[in-house]
Amino acid sequence: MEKKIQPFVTESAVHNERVVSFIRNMTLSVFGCSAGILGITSYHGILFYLFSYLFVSFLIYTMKMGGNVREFYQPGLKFWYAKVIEGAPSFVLFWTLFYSLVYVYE
Amino acid sequence: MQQLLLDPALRNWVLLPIMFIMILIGVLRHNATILLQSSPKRLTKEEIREQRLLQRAFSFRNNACFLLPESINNRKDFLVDALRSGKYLKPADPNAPKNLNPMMDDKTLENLMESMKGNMLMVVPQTIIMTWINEFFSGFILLKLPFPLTYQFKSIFQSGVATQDLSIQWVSSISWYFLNLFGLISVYALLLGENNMASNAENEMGMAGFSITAATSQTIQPGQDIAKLMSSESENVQIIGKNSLLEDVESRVLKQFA
Repeated sequence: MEKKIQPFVTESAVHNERVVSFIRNMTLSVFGCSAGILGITSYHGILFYLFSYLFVSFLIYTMKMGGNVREFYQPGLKFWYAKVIEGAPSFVLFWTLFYSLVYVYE
Repeated sequence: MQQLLLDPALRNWVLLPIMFIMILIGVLRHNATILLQSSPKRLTKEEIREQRLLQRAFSFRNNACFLLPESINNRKDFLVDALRSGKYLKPADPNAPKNLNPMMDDKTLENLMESMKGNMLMVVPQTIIMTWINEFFSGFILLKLPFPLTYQFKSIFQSGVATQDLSIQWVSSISWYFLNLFGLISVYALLLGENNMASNAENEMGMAGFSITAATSQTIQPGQDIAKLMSSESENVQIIGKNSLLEDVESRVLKQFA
């Protein structure tokens, strides 16, 4: 049996997850606005969403975690793909809003 | 590609006001939920004792590996004895009516009221806004979705407009309501901080979030036999083996620094 301790503080993990999801919410909304302004439609929009999601995750990875996901987020690989569905509605809302504001109305 | 030109007055008087009103109603709902929450019930000394014993057994099960082997045995004996003997149980109140029906228990009713209040606070504003929008804002095309959908959504999203050829990208205000419903969760997170009552994501309010609160919230549930919980907990405690991390820790530390 592995006789080492693996300290896992629940409060820190929850706090980290909250910070990450907060960052994602804000940046994905802004990316939604930019998608609307740029006039991106349908499939390109989904690609843009995935690109912006991965871009933001990558920035968090390099700048905040220093390339070490496992220290900040358990389990490590889920950081990249677990919350993709959760960020979609805000992206779509702002995308639709700005697309209509810019391209449909005078 | 169909190109429709929409009146800017629609934008000023429909698009932005609906969004603004939904944000405000969300904030209002958050504050109202907080105000309507009843203060936590005061428990008597005996009840707190029962719950604390169960919590202690739970913590012991989780963290037993950090103790010395003798400490583990000591605690195990004490806990098993305490849980089995019922020393810590609340003394049965001879005046309390025997409730054969667990639904009519006082505490069950209170919990039901709490969850019902929460549900009503979520459902009622949504229904009101939906009726209001259908009443006042129907019959015109409001915005264009940047992405196409299938034709089944035509009846929902283009509810007021009865045309056959209009592509599904042009929608009426009810779809704007739906978009806002889901998309404003992140805006609420910005305005109200995390754990806000305005988003649907706080359904775990009544359920266990983490392990320690799981144990405590179990005991707070009414209608559950505390004695039964204690006996099952005593069996769990007995299963705890002697997996102490501190066994021959001296040799391991020396090996590490040798």
